[in-house]
Amino acid sequence: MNNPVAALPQSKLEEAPPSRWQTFSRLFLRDKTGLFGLFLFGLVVFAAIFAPVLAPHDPLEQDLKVSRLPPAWMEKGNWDYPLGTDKNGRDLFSRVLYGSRVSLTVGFFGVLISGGIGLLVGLIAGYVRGKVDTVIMTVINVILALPYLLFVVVIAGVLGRSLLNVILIFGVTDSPIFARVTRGEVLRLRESGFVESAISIGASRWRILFDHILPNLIGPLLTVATFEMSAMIFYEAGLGFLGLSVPPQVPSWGNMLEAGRQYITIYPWISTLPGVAIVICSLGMNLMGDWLRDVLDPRLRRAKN
Amino acid sequence: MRRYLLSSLFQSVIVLLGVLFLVFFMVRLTGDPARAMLAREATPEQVAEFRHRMGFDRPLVVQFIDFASRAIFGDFGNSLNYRLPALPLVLERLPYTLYLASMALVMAVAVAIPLGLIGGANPNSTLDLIGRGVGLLGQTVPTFWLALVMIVVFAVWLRWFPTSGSDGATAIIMPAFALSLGTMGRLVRLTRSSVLEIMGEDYIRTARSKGLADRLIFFRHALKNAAIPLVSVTTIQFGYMLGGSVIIESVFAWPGLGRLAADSIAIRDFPLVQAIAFFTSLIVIALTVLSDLLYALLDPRIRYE
Repeated sequence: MNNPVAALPQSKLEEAPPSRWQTFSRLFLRDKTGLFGLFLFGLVVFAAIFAPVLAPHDPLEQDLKVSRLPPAWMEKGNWDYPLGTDKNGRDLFSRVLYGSRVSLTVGFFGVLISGGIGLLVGLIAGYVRGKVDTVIMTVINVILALPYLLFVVVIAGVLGRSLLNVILIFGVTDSPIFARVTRGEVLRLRESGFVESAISIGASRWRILFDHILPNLIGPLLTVATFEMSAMIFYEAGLGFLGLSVPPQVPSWGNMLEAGRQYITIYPWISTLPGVAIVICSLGMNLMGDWLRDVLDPRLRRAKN
Repeated sequence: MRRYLLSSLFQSVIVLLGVLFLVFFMVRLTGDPARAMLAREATPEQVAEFRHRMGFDRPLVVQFIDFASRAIFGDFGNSLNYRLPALPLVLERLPYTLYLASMALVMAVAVAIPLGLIGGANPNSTLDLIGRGVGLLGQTVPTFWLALVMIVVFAVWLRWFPTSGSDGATAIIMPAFALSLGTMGRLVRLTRSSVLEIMGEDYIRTARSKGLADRLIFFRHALKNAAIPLVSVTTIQFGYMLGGSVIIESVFAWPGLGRLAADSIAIRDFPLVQAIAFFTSLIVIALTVLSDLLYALLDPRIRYE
């Protein structure tokens, strides 16, 4: 009679606790700005994949008869060239679509490399601790204390313009961020109750690493990766703007800004419109990152409720 | 406290050595600095002669010790372009960049701190929404694109400011604002979140239960504690701006170090670039020591250690 379990309605007992995926999707659908971010990012990915189908023109095709055409909604505009044309008569809309390929490639592989290096270095620092940790953290602090953009620009200038160079530059120079986050999380997880219990029942080092530490790193690293990918897309465009990113003929957002810069007072659309694409992309990624952080960090989730 | 400051100084010496190392190897990333510094058309004989003249044919260790011992005394060799010692050229441009970065920092702090404080103390109020908007804009709008749009709107259409250059008192406004946006956003977010966090702390609840007025709690307890992390972030942001000036100064033809760096990279004047990178890093290191000192003065937990 006094058994509290018996007093509960039967249905409550049979109801399984929501699975991880269910909690995840419920929290996701609740957050409208996160959804909007995903939509914007999806738009950019869609443009990158289907650029050949969507683009009305070849992004490299020059036609001097239609050079410096304004966007369609302006006077003398033409719906054959929705966003107008650049000084060589290339269709800006097609170039913006193809530009998303460069940005996403740099962002994706840049994050993959820097995340990989950072994870490895951070795991070593956090797991081995002691002198190794001190040395690694000193190096990381040296790199993070530098005027980042200046160094990236110089290195890009030395190495020369190529897609591979740009990816490698960001992949290496951004890895300290991932290393610092990984190390911090590993140090925190090591002190946590479940790792202590695992140690006390005699779990091996590798078992603790693979079963307990690594799965718990996915959330924080994924969040950082979203923000860092957005930052790389930013910096790639910045390098392009200085003429130091991918070769000049490649349609990339940064190159387009650079090419239109000298005409900014007469033909402002040539270099301002590609920038809108950058804003859409980074807005999407940042909203997604904010949302991921809220969903994946249980401490924040509790605070919000 | 003395131990804390000594360790801060010791760290900065290590950072300084790290910077020297990076600046030295930066121009040797392709393996041949002579090739990197000369135009592509240079004949093999010219390259060989240049290599010998610059001492690039000596062992790397000898080159590094020579470079480092000269650099400590401010000798970076001659600029290839100006055929003058690099350091005076750097010092000549430095005041412009410091002026620009300081103005940008003042703008960022003046907007971000009040918005963040008010927003954090009154979540979801109108001012909080504005603050969060600024925070998002700072993260998602590329500075170089903002700079171009500002030129079109405020210089070409409205004619409020000159399009570029440093003549006249108003010339600083656009470059400083463009440079400040990223920092402004970051500071709003940080201030807001630290005030939010502090308002939930035990000592605030204690102060409330004592019957202290909200205003008093805010100014005496919350503000002081929120200021501590802001100090170090603001110094880091200043270093960030020195890096960001590479792009902004190029857009606005601002005659500072950033533009000198971008121009020198374009014409492969790497001795000058090395001087700029080292000198800018030196300023950042000095600021870090200063912020450690301020930290110690502000936070009694460090002061009484």
